[in-house]
Amino acid sequence: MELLTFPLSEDDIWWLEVFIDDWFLVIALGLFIVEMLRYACKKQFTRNLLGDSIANFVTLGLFMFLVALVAMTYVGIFFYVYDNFRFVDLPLTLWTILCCIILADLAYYWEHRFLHKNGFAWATHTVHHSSPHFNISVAYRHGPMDWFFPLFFYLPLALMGFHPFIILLAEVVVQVYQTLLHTETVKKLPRPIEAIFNTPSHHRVHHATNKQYLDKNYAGIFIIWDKLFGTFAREEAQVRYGVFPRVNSVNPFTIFFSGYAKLFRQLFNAPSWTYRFKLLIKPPIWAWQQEQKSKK
Amino acid sequence: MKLTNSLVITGIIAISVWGVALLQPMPVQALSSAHPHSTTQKQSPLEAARSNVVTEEQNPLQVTLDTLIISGNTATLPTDKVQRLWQEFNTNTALNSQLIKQPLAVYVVYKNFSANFEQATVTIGYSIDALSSADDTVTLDAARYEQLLSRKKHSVQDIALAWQEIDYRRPIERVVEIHYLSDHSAITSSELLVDYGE
Repeated sequence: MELLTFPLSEDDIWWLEVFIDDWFLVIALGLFIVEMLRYACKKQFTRNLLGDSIANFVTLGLFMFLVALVAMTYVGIFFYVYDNFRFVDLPLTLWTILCCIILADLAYYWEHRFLHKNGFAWATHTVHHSSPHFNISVAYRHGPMDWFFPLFFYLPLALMGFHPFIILLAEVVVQVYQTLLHTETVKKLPRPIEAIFNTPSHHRVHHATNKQYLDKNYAGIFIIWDKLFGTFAREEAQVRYGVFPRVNSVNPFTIFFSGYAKLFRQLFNAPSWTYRFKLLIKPPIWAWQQEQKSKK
Repeated sequence: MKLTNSLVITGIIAISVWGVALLQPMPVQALSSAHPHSTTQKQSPLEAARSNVVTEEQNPLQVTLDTLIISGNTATLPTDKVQRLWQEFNTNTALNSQLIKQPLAVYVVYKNFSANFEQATVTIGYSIDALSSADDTVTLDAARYEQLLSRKKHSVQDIALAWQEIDYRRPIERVVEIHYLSDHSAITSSELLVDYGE
């Protein structure tokens, strides 16, 4: 109990966040090498897999470049809201951090669901889903606006009195957990874990193009959100990864901008302003349905 | 489940988890009054027995405060801007990390008043008894004080009104607010003392 309520400093929180962020990347790279060796042993290692994986890490670099440009503004918005509009003061303790991680995970569920249900948001998130492979490098396959949408879903936490550094730490914890799920190496975990937590099996379903798996398993850490809100699907049939239409490229720049390039093409060719508005607002499946109708 | 229902349940979960976060003992928390201020913070149940204020039975308005050394946040600022210092005190995580036990009270010391009493040097802090170490300390030598508010639960308005009872025609050495605290971060009682330095 004392450990949970022991007061921490801002420096402690920041240090912890940077420590997790930096060292986890090293661990992830180690796991990636193990995965590649496993594919090699199973004679499933291909040039396309290698190219796709390299492209994934390059998109991470492009994403980090954009994040560096907006980081101060992003953090500044959290501090502005926290300093001026917070309802209560929550102390900097492990207790607060744990509560914040649960709430950040819930916020992540809704952000993730939004990314799949809004045309403008999907244009960046589709990059992450566009790989035909599924390994830890895919977790680092980012789109150009991936930094933008979390802001709106995590900002309420600042209003609730969570210090911005704690919110950023919680974001990192959720992301780091998610990263570990991008693997085919782990099949299924013990039943109690599969029941409560998001697992590689649940997340493979999320990345699937199989019809029964579409728009399922949005969870970050806790799969209970999907079970609660009716978006859960269990992994049964073999998963086919990717998006339609296929990107069919290992060029990191083509991949990185593929979502918005497609969206801009659709906007350019749209028959009306109403149609353009709907392209931005409605789920991506709406655009596909309209295209199918126009072909008939 | 329908989207609306899902959002309602999300709201309920969010408020519940937030409530759990609020359940923990708060290291420091401030309230504000019209002129002076009051605070909340966590500490031990022993506080009542450990006040260092001795009331003199002969004159209920006179009390003696033993020598007291406090550490916290100090600033010279307009007295109507003291809330700013409270905010600094509330977010002084370095001070909180030095707590070795729950403090019994928060002390607010006003001294070096300007001629028009609009500015003063204010210190908000804990007795160093509760701290493992203290860098910047303020020592209050043992002195006799006039008690403007006896130690009991007072509203913010009570405290503000008590400030108006200070005799500003007399030389004021210092004014001390003491806010005694419960285990659950609540103010159990407050006291307002003035040392006229005569």
